Amino acid sequence: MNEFNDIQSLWQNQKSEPNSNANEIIAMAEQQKRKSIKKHRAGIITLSITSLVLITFWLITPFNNPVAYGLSIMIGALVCRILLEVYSYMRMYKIDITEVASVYKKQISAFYKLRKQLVTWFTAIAVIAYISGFAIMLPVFKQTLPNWFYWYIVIFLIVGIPLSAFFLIRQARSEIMDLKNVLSQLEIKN
Amino acid sequence: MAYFANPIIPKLTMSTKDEFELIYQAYYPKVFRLCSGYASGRDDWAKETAQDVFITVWNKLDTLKDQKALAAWIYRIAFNTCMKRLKENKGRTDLSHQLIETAYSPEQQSEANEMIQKIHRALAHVSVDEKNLILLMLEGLENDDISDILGISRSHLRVKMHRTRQKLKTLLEDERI
Repeated sequence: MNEFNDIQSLWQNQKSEPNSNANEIIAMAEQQKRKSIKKHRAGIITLSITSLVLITFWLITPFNNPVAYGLSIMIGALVCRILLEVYSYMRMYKIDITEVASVYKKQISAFYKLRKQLVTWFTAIAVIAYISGFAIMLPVFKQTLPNWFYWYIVIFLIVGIPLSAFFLIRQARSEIMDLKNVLSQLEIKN
Repeated sequence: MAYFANPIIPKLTMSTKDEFELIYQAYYPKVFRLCSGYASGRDDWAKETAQDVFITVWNKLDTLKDQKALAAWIYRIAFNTCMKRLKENKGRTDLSHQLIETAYSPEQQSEANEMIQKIHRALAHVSVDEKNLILLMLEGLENDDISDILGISRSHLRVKMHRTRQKLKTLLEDERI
């Protein structure tokens, strides 16, 4: 059995019972909508609070000293990261799932490429900026903080930075692997 | 435009829920087969994806302007949902343990299952573009409708169909697959 018509009829004879009926699908769709609105609101609230805390912190710090420079770098990196995540989310949101397949494929490939860039080099830059910002502030901490507290911060960082980096790299590698896999499937290979 | 041998759902005097119910009944098997073609026959992934497709259909039903374009619209959503969910389709299934239910007699069932499994394995060896085309050809859609769903010109489609059909034939004849 290898004629195309035979294969076609065999294919079309496959049967499958759906997991849910139409009413359940409608209920799921409505629930997803509610969840999405809640998530959206939670995201906006979290971002607003974070931005507010960072800006307040930055404003109350005296200018022209290492703490201000360090904080500016750290806050800058964090704000850029947040803005890029928002941009990435908006790009994904704009992709029209009812588009013709060739256009959708291009849009989703472009989105995944953007995610790949975001996960790889931009995350690395943000982490380096974050560490540099903190390192700039260390001499001030040494002068102003009690000795034990200064060493507590240093030791905490020595342990904390590699640990955070490990988890960050692990998560990034997993996402990059997934993205590479999807991109390779989406790319035309004739 | 030869708009499909597929049912066109009448909108007049019908509530959106009733309309959706009819669409769901009419298109679920087609959408499921399409999703299963993407999932190397993985039933669970195909069912979840088909479910996602109909959630989108429900959410976007009011944006569909031309009722005659319903089938093309659903197929587009189905393909795009499959592409979107490729990231979650990590596992490859050992199809030898999975029996696919068909409308054939028990005697023909074994041969039918073997062939269906072979088609799924062959689909795993083609690009997404070729897969989309093969799945629409297997569903028996007209050329005009296929080009409308995939967004490629009629002349380009004819060339692609010929090449893809040849490739599928070669893959199905390959004993290693």
